[in-house]
Amino acid sequence: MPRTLILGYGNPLRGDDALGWVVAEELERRFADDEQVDVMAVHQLTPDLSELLHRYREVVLVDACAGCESTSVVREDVRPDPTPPRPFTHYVTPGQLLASTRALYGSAPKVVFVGLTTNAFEVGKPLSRQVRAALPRLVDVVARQVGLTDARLPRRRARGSSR
Amino acid sequence: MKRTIVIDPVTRIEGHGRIRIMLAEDGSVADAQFQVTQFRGFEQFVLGRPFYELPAIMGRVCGICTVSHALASAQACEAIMSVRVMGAARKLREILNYASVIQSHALSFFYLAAPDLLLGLSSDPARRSIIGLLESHPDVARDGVALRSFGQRVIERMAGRRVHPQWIVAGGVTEPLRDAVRREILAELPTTFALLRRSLDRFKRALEDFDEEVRVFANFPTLFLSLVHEHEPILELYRGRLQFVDADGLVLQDFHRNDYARFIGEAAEPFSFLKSPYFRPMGYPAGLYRVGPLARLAVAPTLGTTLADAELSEYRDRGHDRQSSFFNHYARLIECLHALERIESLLDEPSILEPRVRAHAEANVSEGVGAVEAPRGTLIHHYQVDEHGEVTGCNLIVSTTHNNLAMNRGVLQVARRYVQSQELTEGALNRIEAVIRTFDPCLSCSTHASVRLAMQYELFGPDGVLLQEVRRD
Repeated sequence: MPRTLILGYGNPLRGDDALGWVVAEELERRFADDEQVDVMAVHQLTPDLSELLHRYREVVLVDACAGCESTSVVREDVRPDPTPPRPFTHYVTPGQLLASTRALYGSAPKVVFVGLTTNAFEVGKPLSRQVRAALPRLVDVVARQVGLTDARLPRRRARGSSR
Repeated sequence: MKRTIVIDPVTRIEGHGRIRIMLAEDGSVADAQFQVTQFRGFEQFVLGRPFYELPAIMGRVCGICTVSHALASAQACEAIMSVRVMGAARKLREILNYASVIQSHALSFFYLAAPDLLLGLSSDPARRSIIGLLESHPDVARDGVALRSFGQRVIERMAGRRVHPQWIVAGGVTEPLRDAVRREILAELPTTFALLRRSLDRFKRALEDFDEEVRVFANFPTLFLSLVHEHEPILELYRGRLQFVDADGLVLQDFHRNDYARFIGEAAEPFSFLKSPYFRPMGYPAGLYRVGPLARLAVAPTLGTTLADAELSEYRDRGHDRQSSFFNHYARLIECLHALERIESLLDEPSILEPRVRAHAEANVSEGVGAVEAPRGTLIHHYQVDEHGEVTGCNLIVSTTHNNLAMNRGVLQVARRYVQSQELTEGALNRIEAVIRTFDPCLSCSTHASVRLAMQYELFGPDGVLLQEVRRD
């Protein structure tokens, strides 16, 4: 079983909310020959992802952060959050997902969140200029997090990818 | 003094709705309404689009029912193209539909209903959720997560992603099935069958604790509507004939999907964006009917798979209680079992790996209708196009919409049983919501626009007294 999961998430139709998918796509290429790393993209974090997370030793979550207009990289260790989610239970926060993984399976991976702050979430718009400019830096932060030092790897179709 | 009780929002359902309960002068329940407060517009903004875009657009009506909408839409497009998808493409679509049923039913049963069933309908609302279930019943929560994940993984492996996949297209699917994927799915079946067996046994043991809920949760005779196989007396989820049966199982009408408008009328009520379909020969509202798991088990003589048919036989021994919408929960588990058996059977067919999975054609006729059984019930997509293949008309009758009249009557039935004018308990309010949950409505899917909406406006003063009411028909 691979050691690490890189999980990008967000709404690919809403401006910078697509960055989780874009980063996942780029990292899928970089880790194409690495059997220890899986890369995936989903629309949102849901409780059933616990079943996936508990199989890995490390998980890197990638998403846009609603924040100020200047774009900066955010990196933080995720702590378990045992508070219940809102009544619409198909959405959970990273902390709630980690807590439910631990509660269900008795163990949980180390989870790190990496993202970019932005305010550009308009429906139908592409990535903003600022986020596009910051993407290489974000990709490198994620790659270094999982121990990749050389970005030039041969291309191959990877598992767990979006189309 | 008359009073109105409002439950807003209705929790642990998909989408946004509220319930209004109107009390008479003596405090008894006079009426109840289930109001859908969200508004979509798919039938309008697809106008002018090329018809072949619609499966991709319609898949975005919902994130849970995405496969169902894409399939019904593709069928309508293929009718316009005058092609019929057969062979491997049809079987692959069926597998995806079954996987969609499994993941949706797992969400409904384990995430939305199980907190009530296992923690109690009057338990602490702060803990009455999937998270509360993790603490009190981790084995049940794990089974629920595993079952939903199985369905989602099948969809992701075959169609590329779990939500809004682009694999289903007019004419077939974009890629054939790889043998490695086929073997991955087959390898997961034994553990999935086992967890479903545990869940069924667990639920059947727990049923005796819900005699009262079975008795009053939308327990009244109605018609039922479902697809059935075109040639055999078995359930059909992907493509077949539509059938109305009465409460005793007598077939009232058997018809082709193209004739749906002859037998299904749609009424609008001013208090909700959700329309009220009815069986036309019986008029509105007498022609109320139900769709979904309960309806499918009422309409289909058999399911056509060994394990599920054994469960169906035991289920039918419960007699008239099968009119109760509470048994939708039971029916969902039986349907999951049936879906697993069908997935296994289809994956074992030699032709499932055939490389040719798509037909190409332009618009050859000006109208097409698609109909599938979505997890929540019969789903109909009806399109009209011009000579260029651009959409000029669109009508959707979505599963949850069919159940609107029954849901309203169910809310009224439960309210009359549990609401006392001087005492409004948390358990009573939750039971009113819980009857809605038995239908597992998807309100995001179900609301759509006519050009002009009947609307009712109410003006309340700061003390909650109704000051003015305006109706626009």
